[in-house]
Amino acid sequence: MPEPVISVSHVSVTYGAGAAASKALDDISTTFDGGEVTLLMGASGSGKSTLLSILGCLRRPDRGSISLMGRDLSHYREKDLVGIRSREIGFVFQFFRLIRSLNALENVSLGLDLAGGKTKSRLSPREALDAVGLTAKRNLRPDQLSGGERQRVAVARALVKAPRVLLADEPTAALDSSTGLQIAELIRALVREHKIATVIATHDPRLIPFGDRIIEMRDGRLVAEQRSTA
Amino acid sequence: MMRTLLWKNLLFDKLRFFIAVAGISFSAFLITVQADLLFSFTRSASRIIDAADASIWIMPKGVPCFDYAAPMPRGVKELAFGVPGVHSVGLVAAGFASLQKPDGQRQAVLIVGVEREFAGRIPSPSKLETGQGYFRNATVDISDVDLFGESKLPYDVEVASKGARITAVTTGFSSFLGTPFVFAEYRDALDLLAVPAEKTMFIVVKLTPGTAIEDARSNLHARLPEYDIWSTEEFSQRARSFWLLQTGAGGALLLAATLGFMVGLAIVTQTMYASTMEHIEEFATLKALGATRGYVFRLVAGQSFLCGLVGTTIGFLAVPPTVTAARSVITWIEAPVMTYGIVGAILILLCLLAAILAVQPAMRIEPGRVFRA
Repeated sequence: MPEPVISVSHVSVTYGAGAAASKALDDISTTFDGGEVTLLMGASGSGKSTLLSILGCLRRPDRGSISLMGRDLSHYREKDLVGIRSREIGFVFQFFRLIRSLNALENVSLGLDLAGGKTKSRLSPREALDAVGLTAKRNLRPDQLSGGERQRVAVARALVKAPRVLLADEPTAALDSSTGLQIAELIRALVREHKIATVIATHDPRLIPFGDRIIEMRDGRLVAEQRSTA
Repeated sequence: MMRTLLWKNLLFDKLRFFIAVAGISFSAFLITVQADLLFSFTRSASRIIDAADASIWIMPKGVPCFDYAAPMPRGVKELAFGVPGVHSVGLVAAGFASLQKPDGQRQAVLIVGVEREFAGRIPSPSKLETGQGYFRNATVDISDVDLFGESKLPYDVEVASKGARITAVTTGFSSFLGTPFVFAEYRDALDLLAVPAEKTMFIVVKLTPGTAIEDARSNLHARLPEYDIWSTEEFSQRARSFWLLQTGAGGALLLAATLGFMVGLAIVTQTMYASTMEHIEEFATLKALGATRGYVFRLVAGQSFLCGLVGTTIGFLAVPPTVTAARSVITWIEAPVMTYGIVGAILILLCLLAAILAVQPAMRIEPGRVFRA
């Protein structure tokens, strides 16, 4: 059995303290394999975003550990976690979070630049834009692109550095229905091709067909898990 | 890539960039003009002292500046001359007088006369004038000529019922009190001030080479304990402090300069802070994508530096024409290169300081917020 790309073990996160304390994650353990698309589903406040933050090394768990390609990241310094984020983890956000002043090609190049040239990129920024079908629009700024095109640029930015893990937070929520499905299809095709462990937090039931695995969260816990039969 | 990001971020919203640069330009302009006023005022306050060719000044106790001279016995000169380290001793006459202009109107003036060997850069009629040898020739600053109601040289005036002739004009000695300097030969100055020959106002001293000013000053003080004895630098500083801190005019100017500096500081800090906070979400994104704290800091500092540089340069460009225009009213105002250097360095430092303050939230921003809509 192949080693999982990323895993969490007995992870707990609590926001606030005392009477105001609220458990965002409660003793969660799971693994994510390369090339597999996992959908994290659940109501708002169920812990999806917090789990993405933990997987993305954007915050540390209060308890438990996280491991990437067999390396326990619990004791990594902040500086090292920044390096891991820049080289090994790709992000796609609900509202794209592109840099407004940069054009599409520059936004994608930024993903590589932040990795400091220490990544073995499989794609050049132009190739990444080609892969998401935006070759002709590479010189346009985000405000000159449609929502779907912006999200494609964000996908290209995430994938250009050939990450081990892709984390997407509601990637279709700001898009119309057909564009959302196109983005989901694009993500699935690219992560399968590049064997990237992918975790998508979503409320959108239309994405279910695109997941290899669906995890349902409630009150900070993984309450159900289902594998696609497709 | 960072350079691209830096420039494109700055120029992306041109209106915002223009507003930021305009704020900094205004601050640079305001602070520089105020600094020029303050500098020129203090320099004017000690101009005669600084221009004389002397190392030490002797005067009656309590004389705060050159303008408010008081008479003292001329014989002190001989006493001073015998002190070890003293090379030569000279006399200076100074005092206010009422001058009657060619049109019969009266004008308060400050008569100045310095013995030739000690005059240094202080003008004297024999250095500049066209009618050498004429009794009681005098020289005035070109900026004060209009005050006399006559611009064609020479012309006759009357001081204390005695005739004098303005024979030349000089530059760099305009009045800052509204009482023009009238430079005359030492004896003529005494005469015009109606001071008897056995009196003088200041005694100036040159030292023998190799003598420490402090040693000579101590020796003079021991010999002349009833007089104030200052090195030229001390007397200059004393005069500046007097005009700046003990007179309403200086106090008002100092207050205006301080307020100008604070307003400028507030504008620069607020402008840079707002500009950084404008991009706070982008900094969060950059951090989430793997930007180090150093990367974010360099980006913010670079943007602030460029804004500061562009704004300060534009602000400086507006200063010379303003100072030139102001000179018709404030004849003593100058715009020395030094103030550009000092104000420029301060403003760019302020921009960086403001950026450092503003960058703190950007540096501390939790990258995890990118996952919250």
